[in-house]
Amino acid sequence: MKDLSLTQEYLLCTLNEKGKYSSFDMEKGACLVAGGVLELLMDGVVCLDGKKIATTGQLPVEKEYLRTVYEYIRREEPVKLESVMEHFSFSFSDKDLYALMGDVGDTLAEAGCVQKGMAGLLGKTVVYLPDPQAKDGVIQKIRAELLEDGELSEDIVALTALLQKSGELSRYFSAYEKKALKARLKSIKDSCENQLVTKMVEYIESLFMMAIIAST
Amino acid sequence: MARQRSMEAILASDYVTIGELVRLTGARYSTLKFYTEEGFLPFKQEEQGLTRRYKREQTVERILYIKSLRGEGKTIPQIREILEGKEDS
Repeated sequence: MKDLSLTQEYLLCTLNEKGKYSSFDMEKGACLVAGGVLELLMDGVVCLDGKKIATTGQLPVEKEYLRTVYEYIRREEPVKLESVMEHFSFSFSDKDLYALMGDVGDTLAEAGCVQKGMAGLLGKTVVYLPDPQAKDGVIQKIRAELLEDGELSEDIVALTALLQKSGELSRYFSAYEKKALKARLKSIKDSCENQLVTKMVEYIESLFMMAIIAST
Repeated sequence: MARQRSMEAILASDYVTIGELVRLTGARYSTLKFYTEEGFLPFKQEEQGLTRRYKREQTVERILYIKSLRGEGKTIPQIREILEGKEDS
């Protein structure tokens, strides 16, 4: 199995069998951006000071697929996390969100985890057909950590929280397993074992509330 | 809470977790869990509730061996007999 990052694994798990990813599904898009920010935070490329985020140095070459997120933070720093999420989630054209998705999708294609193609009536829509085996590998990895006793890794906790927030957990886990996963996530949240992940989940939640209020 | 280990780090260590065995062998978690419960995959666990650790080389070898036996059409009781026979010899 290839080493994939948090954002890559999240995108792989949220692509449907036709390789499409709708930007109209706000939660999925917001979680992709949150995944990118979290990955940069966990790798120390950006840092969080209170509610504001700023870069700490250059973007590593191997993280080039997060360039859109990194550049926005660098341009606006120090910037509120909510502003980063809003910029990607509520823009008129979704240009940056599509760019981020394309960049992450291309690295998945290079790793052989998806097949890039064109679809749609005019054949102009880029799609990333996921390799079922690669996708299953990620899901098995989540199972093997979260349904087992013992230590957990930040990456898996973050990925599961994002999949839960974007409503994707139901696609891969039974009701019984989902209950166990949610209980595990709650205990992590309550124990403040990983404040970074907890904070990010809270930000995503508040962002969704803002979207609901805005649409009513 | 630590970061997930890279494949390079996993391949360099003597002991691995069940999640890392999933990554190393491509086997499903439920399968490895079942093999563990059947006693096919010995592990070390310091205390109840802590992470189970498996000897990397021997366990990967064992999983591949069980896979090949399954490929030959052997049943789980037959595999158990074969593995027990191997341990006795």
